[in-house]
Amino acid sequence: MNNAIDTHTATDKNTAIDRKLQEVETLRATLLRPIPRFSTRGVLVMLTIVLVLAWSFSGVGPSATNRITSFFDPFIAVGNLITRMLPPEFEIARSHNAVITLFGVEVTEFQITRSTVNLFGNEVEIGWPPIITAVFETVQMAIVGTLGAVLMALPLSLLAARNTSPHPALYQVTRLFLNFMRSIPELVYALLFVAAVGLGPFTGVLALAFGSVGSLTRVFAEAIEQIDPAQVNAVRATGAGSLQTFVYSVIPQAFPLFISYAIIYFESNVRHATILGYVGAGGVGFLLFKYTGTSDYDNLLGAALVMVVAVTVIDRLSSRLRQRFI
Amino acid sequence: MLVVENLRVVYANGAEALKSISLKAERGEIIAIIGRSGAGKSTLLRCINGLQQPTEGEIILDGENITRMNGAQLRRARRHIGFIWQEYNLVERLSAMSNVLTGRLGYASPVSSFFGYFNAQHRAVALQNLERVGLLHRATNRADKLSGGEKQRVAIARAISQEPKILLADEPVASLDPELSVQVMTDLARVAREVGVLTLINIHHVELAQQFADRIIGIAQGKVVFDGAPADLTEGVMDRIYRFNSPVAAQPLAAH
Repeated sequence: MNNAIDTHTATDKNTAIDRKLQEVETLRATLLRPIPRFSTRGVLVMLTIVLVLAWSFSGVGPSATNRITSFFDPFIAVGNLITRMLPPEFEIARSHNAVITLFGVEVTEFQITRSTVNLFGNEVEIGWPPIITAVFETVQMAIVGTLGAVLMALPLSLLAARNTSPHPALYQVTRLFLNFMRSIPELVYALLFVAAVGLGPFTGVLALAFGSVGSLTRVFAEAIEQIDPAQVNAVRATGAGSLQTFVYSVIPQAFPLFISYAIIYFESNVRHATILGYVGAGGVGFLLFKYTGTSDYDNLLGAALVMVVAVTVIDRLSSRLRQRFI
Repeated sequence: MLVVENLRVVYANGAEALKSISLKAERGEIIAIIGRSGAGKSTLLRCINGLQQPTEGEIILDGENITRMNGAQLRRARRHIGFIWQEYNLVERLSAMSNVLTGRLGYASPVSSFFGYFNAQHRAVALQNLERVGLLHRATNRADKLSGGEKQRVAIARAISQEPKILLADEPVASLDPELSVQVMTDLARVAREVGVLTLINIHHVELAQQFADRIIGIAQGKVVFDGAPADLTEGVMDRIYRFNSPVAAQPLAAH
């Protein structure tokens, strides 16, 4: 009886070893294959990707109104547009009333009028280009708008961070509210505020502040969630109150990230602010609207070049500033 | 096989990492390099791999002068120099097998390897080396899913897959616990003996060095102060390598 059981377990063991060896051999064979075998799952994934791409292209291909009949037409169309943009021009205001004020006190006021000078035999107009005024206004809007967003995001981020939120329900409600804020683009905020407070750069400031507060709060909250809890506990262990603990352990850890994100949002707000003028909310957008509306593509390219310079300078300055805080 | 002559390295900040190092090594030797932190052990290995340009002196590997090579020549020479790092430096998102296959990149065609294609010969070499370190069962696992000891074994398999003339290991077990250190060192020494490759190992643990190396080189203050068999590593030699300027070591002498 005993013997029978022993042989039984022995054969069991042998088949187990055989199976193991078989597995090792299959593994070796798979690893040695230069081209992996197609799995059903892989084929299905590839097929899905192809279908999604085909479906996407089918919905957005050129229509009859696009006047594209041959493969070369799009290139010809873009070429035409480029030739109409060249050479770039800079609109010169007939007269610009320059007022220099210092902390609200008017220092001096003068007029810059358009005049024509002869430069090496070429007639050149000199004066004040309105695009400069518009670029400065755009930067001002971005600075004030970002400041507004930061001021709103600081307290909100405390509620939206899991580790500092006073109650899970409040955390969920805050997150829901932020998602709502975030799902509305800046341009829609601009349209709403134009209706509410009228035209002008202040409307743009409101649009930028409300347009970025949703996502800015989210990244602030994630910065707070990333902090080291051990440092917080160590401060709490000294007997500090919750506000003291916050000021001495949470803020010092999250501060560099706050600054860094605020600067990144300022940069992106400069770029976002350019479009807001399209709906009358100040900045270079109004000029772009004017130039595209009148098919004045030479001036459009001129304005675009000025903006390239401005955005590049701002990016360089702010990334240098950001490195100081990290 | 390897000849290092009067090697001197002065860093840009004026620090003299190596004063004058000369040594000869033959094929198949396993040599442990011991010395205090900052003695110049890592600098020596970095020079042999061409990562660090020496200020003076020459390194000749298999008749080729490493110190007088341009970029392309150095790349070709590095193909034959395996390197094992303290922190493993596996590509974490690739499988263990793919990591070992990277050891074949110096031989594989640039175009086909771009598309992840390695021919059966390259795969056979990689597989053989992965089995040498006993990790066939982990072949398809991503490197970040492996334990520290397994990672270092994969790194050994990767270096060996280069079919190197020389294997350089910079503190290969310093990140592992004592038990794993012994196991990984056992594997490293066994594999090096199997393929008969000259191996230089920078190591802090003197006991491990004595246990696994054929020869020990002691470096102190940028100079070779000991070069001999593990058995000849006496207390006096250890003082010269490790306690050359320590008042603690000098005190008992003063008491006598």
